[in-house]
Amino acid sequence: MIEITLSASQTLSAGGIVAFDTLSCETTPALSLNTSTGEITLASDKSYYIEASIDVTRSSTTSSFEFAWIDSSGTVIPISDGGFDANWVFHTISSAGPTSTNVANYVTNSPTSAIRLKAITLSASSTILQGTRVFIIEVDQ
Amino acid sequence: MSYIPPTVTAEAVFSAYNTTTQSASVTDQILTCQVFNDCSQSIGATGGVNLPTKAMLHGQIRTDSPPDQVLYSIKFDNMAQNGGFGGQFACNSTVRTDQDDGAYGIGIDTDVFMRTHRGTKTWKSDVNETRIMGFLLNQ
Repeated sequence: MIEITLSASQTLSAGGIVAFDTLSCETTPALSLNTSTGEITLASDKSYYIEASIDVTRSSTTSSFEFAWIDSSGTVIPISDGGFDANWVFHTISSAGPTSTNVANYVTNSPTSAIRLKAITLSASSTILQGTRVFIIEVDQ
Repeated sequence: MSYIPPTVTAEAVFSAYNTTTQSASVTDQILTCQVFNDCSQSIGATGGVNLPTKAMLHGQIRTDSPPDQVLYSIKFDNMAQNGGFGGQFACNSTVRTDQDDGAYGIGIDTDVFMRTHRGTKTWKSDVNETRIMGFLLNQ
């Protein structure tokens, strides 16, 4: 089991990348973390169950957020490749709105080379809290 | 603090999702998946996932514009055989911050699906919003 976290909260807007900078694991996993950019490089000969929990203070209390995993070229990993977004849509008690998913997953037996967690929708200058974290199960194929 | 070693032994990870919008009844509506991702297993006859070995599962749904003050929960079903069990989660669209993020379960069965368990009004799961993820464990 691998845990990837933030050492401090981070200010972020839509289009930004969560800059994870801490990897915790008892031994050295096959994947690696770029502690400057938050990019996670995956091993091609492993399967991965990756789950990011989102903890954010929105700069606007009437705003929504969406986070998704992107590949090294910046493309959102589609659901057909095992990419699942975390999507929370604001609505009031008196109005209808879709319910939420609060974690962003990437579940694959054919991993792309590297991934980053991107804020697809987020009000400007929101705060990504240290409660935002990723756990990863790395599986031998 | 020590951590669990990074690598576990499993046969595969998997995910499944829906490709058609589904309107559901308040209770006891099976939530169907149509696509099984990246794994040699298959979708079951009623839209669940076929699990040839023990598996741990995480299921999610997102509903598209549910009626106000809708209250519902979903649960994994068809997991009672072979010692499996299915969790459930509740969602209240009025009190949005105290919802869980899905149902968890572990088991080994064919055609393990989610089912609406409790609700006050009908709702709809849009395309790609019924999701089952997990990994198959080695025996």
